Amino acid sequence: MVSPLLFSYISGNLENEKAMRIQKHINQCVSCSKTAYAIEQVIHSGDTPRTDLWPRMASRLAQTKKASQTDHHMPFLFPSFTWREATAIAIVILTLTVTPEPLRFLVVLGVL
Amino acid sequence: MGQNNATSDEKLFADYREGDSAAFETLFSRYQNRLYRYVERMLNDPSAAEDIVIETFLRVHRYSKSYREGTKFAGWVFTIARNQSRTWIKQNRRLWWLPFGVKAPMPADNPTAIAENADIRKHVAIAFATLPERQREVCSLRLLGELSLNEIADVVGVSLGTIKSRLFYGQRRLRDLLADFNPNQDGKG
Repeated sequence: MVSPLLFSYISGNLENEKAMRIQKHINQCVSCSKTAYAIEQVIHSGDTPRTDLWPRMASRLAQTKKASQTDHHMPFLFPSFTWREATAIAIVILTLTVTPEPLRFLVVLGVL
Repeated sequence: MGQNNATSDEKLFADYREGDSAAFETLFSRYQNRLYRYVERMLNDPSAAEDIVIETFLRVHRYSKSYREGTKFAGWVFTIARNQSRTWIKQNRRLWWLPFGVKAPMPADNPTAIAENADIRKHVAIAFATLPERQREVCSLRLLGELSLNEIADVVGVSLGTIKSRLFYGQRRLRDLLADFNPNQDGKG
């Protein structure tokens, strides 16, 4: 199938032999020649950021490093959970609360 | 796609983890345009795309210790960017899918280039906006992020066959959508 190779062909990353085969195919196949045109347009339409992003990046990085240094002095940080983890913890706590003998329940779970 | 002309991304990142700050800047300069093009096409919002590129590399810094040796750096970075983009899309979903949301490209430095490319950029942006999300994602990663098919499969988390299929249908759809703007279409083939 030619389709996955078209981008490599257009961006010049194909070996000569393969590139020549694709070129030959494109010359004969209307569909692939149109697809190649569309890919070229997409590639050329790709923008770059308005300005170099590194100064902003460096500034944010410095802030992050400073904040992480400050964090080292904090004695306790509450751990962050995703909603899935929080739900799982809530279910475990709820299960243990409503189970008549939670210790035995945990032992049985451990055995299983 | 790997860097042929210099140190590999993985080696640079290893250097950064060992304290070489310059390696981080080199990695950032290598990836900022590729990431930006991919994210911008996914979100259709240049300003948000810039923020996400920066946030992606902040996460690269923050989670550098959780990077597994042997993993392709490009795949890892694009996975982070993809997750960031998806979060942004979820938060902005109500406005994002509206066709009126297709924004004009941001001005570049070269006015001649703007005049020449503005029309086709607009059409490409509209064409991308009409692609189904999965096809748009694969096409963006391939055509603008310049990832290999295997790297895309890692980033998206589906099989290589699925990636090829999405790319095929995505490119075919782009071909149909952009065919109307092809001045040479009658003479081709």
